[in-house]
Amino acid sequence: MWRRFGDLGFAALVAVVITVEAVPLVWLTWVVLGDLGHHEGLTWILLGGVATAALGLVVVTAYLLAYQTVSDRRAAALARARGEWVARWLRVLAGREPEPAGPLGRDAVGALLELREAVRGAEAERLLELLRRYGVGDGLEGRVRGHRIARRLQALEDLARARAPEAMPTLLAAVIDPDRRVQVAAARAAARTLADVEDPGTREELAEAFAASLVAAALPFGVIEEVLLLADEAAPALVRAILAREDVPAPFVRAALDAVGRLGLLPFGDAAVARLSHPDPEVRAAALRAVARLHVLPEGAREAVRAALDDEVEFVRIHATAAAALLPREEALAALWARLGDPSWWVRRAAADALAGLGRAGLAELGHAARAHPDRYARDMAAQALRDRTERVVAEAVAR
Amino acid sequence: MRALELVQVGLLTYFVVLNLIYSGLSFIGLRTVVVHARELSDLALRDLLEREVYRPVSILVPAFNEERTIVAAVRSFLALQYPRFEVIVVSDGSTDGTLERLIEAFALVEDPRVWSARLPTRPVRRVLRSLRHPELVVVDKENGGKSDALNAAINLARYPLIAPVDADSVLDAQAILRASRVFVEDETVLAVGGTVRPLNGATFRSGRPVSMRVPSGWLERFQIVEYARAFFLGRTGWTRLGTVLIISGAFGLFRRDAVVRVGGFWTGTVGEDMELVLRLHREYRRAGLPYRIVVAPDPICWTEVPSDLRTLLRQRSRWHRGLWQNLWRHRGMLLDPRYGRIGMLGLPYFWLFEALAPVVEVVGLVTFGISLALGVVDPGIFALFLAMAVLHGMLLSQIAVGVEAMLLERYPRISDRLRLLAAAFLEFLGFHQLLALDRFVATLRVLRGRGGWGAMRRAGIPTATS
Repeated sequence: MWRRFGDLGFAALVAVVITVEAVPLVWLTWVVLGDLGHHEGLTWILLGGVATAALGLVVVTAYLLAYQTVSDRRAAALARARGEWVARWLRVLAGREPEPAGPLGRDAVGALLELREAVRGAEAERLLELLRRYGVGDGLEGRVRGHRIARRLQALEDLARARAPEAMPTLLAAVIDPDRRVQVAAARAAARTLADVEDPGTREELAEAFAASLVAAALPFGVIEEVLLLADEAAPALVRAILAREDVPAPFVRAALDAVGRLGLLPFGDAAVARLSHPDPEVRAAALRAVARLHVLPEGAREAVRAALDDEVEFVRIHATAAAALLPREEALAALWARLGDPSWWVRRAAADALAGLGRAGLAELGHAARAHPDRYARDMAAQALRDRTERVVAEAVAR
Repeated sequence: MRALELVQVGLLTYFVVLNLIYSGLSFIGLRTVVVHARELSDLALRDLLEREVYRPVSILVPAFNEERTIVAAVRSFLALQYPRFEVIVVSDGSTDGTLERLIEAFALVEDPRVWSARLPTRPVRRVLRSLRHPELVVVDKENGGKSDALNAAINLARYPLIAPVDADSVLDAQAILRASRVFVEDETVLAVGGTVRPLNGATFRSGRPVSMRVPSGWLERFQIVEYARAFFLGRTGWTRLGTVLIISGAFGLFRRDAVVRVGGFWTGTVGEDMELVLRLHREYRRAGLPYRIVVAPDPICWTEVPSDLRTLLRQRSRWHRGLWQNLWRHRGMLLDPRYGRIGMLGLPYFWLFEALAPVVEVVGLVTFGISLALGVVDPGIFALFLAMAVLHGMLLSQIAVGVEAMLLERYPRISDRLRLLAAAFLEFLGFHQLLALDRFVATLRVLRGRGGWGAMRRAGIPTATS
C-alpha cells in the first residue's frame, strides 16, 4: 500500500518547513493584535510570510518531483536486488555457493528474512543460524529498544519474520512498552517466535513469561485472540499459562477459551466447563462456544447449559443454543423449541440454526415448529431456517 | 473607517489562526501516515486472514436511481479480499432501472425472509437474493431517503460490523481488511473511517485501479487536491487528537451494535454520516463508556466526483447544510467539558473554521474590496497578504498531494504531478471563492429552513472490461 522509503525524509522536511513558516504567522498575529491595524513593520512581516511560504513550496515541490522521478526506479532496483539475494541465499542453502562475507546490507537481510518466513523445516533452521551468524537479530533488537516509533515498528515486523527465540526477552520487554502500537507489534512478533520454540521446557517457561507480559500490558481481547492463534503449537502452553494466573482479567480468559474451541484443544475441555457459570457474561459465552466446538458436555455441566438458555444476557442465550445441541436428544429438541420463542430475534435465529444442525430429528422439529409453534415469530423463523437449509443443500449439489 | 480596520484585524487574525491549525494538523496527519505505514504491515494483514481473527462485515449500499453505476459498484464490492462478508443493496424507491439492472446482472429472485426490524423504516416491498452470489441481498423498499435505506440494510445485516458505502464508489480490494484490523486491535473502537479518493480518470479491475491519470477537467483536478488535503492530512490529524467528527458516507466501518444502540441513522438530515458520529460521541460520553472513533489513511474508497459545476455546487451546498443541521442539533455538546475534546476542541473548530468559514471569507472579500475602494487598506499590504494566503494554501495542498505520492497506487506520471501542482495554485484563483460563496448561500438557506438532496449527475465507474 505504501512506499516505505523517502516518507521519513518527507515528514522531516515538512516539519522544518511548517516550523519556519509558523514564525511570520505568529509574529503577524502578535503585531496585528498588539497594534490594532497600525501597519509599522507589517509589510516586512508579510514579505517574510510570502518568502517562507514560497521557499517552503519550492522545497516541498522539488522533493516530490525528485521522489516521483526516482522512487519507481528505486523500487524496481530494490526488488531486483532482493530477488538476486533470495537466489543467492537459496544457492547457499543448497551448498552451491559459499556464505557471503558480512556485514550484510539491507537487501541481503531483507531477502534472508523473506526466506525465513517462506521456508519451513530444516532449511528454516539453517536460515535462523545464518541470521545469528551475521548478527541480524542483535541489530533488530537494538532498533526495537530505540526511540523512533517508525523504526521500532519496522524492526518488530522483521523480528516477527525472523522468529529468533533469543529475541524473546527484548520482545517481552516491548510488550509492556508504554506505546500501544509497539505493544501490539511486539506481542505478535513474540507469538510467532514462541510458535517456533520446540523444546517443551523452554516453551512452557517462555509462555509463562509471555502471559505475564500480556497481562501487565492489559492488551485487548482481539490482540490476545490473535496472539493465541499465532502461537500455533505453543498455543496450549500459552492457554495454560493464562488460565493458571489468578490475576488474569476476563478478556484474557475469554480469548483463551475461544482459542480452546477454535484450535480444538480437548485437554482444556474441563477448563471451559468450569467457566460455564462464570460471573462475567462474556466469559460464560466464550465457555459455551468452546464447549459447543469441542463437543464436550459432561453430565455434571448440563445444568449450567440449561441455566444459560434462560440467561438474562442475550448473547449468552445465543451461544447456549449451540451448546444445547449437546444435551440428550429429547431434551435438546425441547430446549431449542422453547428458544425458538425467545423475545430476541438473534436467539430465535441461533435456535433454528442449532435445530437445523441436529440432523433429521432437528429438521423434523423445525418443520413441526414452522407449522405448530404457538409463537408466530418462532413459526416464521423455523420456516426461514428450513428455506435456508434447502437453498444450501441445492447450492452444494449444484456445486458438486 | 475604524470599524473597517477592526474587521480587517479580526479577519487577519482568523486567517492566521486557521492556517496555524492547518499547518499543525498537516504535520500530525503526515506523521500518523508514516507510522501507520509500518504499523499495518502486509504480514499483519496476512496473519489476520490466515488465523481467521477478522470480524465478518455487512456492506450496506443505499441506492436511489443509480442505474449507471450500481452494477459496477456491486461487482467491485463482491470482489473484495475479505473472507466473510455480505453485500446488502437497498433500492430506496428508485424510479429508474436500478432494480432491473441488478436483477438482470446478478440473477436475483425473491426471498421471503424474516429479519429483526430493530430500526423503524419505510415499508420494505420485497427482499431479493442472488442465485450466483449467496452473499448478495437486495432490498426493494419505499423511498425514505439515504438514512432510511441504511437503517433498512442494518435491520437485515447479519454480521457484527457494518460498512455503509455509496453506490457510486469502488472500494479498494483491501479496504475492508485494513479497516477491520483496527477493530481487532482495540475493542473499544466503534467506527473506522477510510480515505476517499476521486476515481475520475482511473480505470478499475476488481477494485484495483489498473491505470491512473489525472482527469482532463480542472474541476475534477481541484477536487483531487481537496480530497487529499481533507483525508490524508485533516481527518488523519484529527484522529491523532482523538476528535474525529466525520466519517465519510462514502465508506466507513461501524460496530452494528453501537449504531443500533444509538438508534441508527437519523432521517432528518442531509449529513447523516456526521450526525451518526456526533450521536455516537454523545451517547457513549453520556454513558461513560470507553470508546474510540478513528480515521485510517489506507482503507481507500474511490468515488466519482462531480465533473460539472452545477452538480458540484449542489453537492457542496448539501454538505454545508448538513454540517449546519448537525452542529445545531448537537449544539448542547459545544464547549461542554463533559464531552471532553469533542466539546472543547473538535466542535468549536467545526463551528468557527468549517461552518462559519464561508461567511468569514465572503465578508472578508467584501470588506477588503470596500477598504481598497475607500483607501483604508494599503494595496501593497493587501497584495502581500493575498500572496501569502495563496502560497500557504498551495503549500498545504502540495504536502497533501505528496502523501499520495507515497502510495503504491499513485498518479504515476511527472506530468500528472505538475498538473496537480497547477491545480493547487489555480484552485485559489476563483474556484475556492466560488465554493465559499456557494456555502455562504447554503448557510442562508439553512437560516431560511430550506434544502433537500438534489439530483446528482453520474458518468459511471470506468472498468477495464467496459
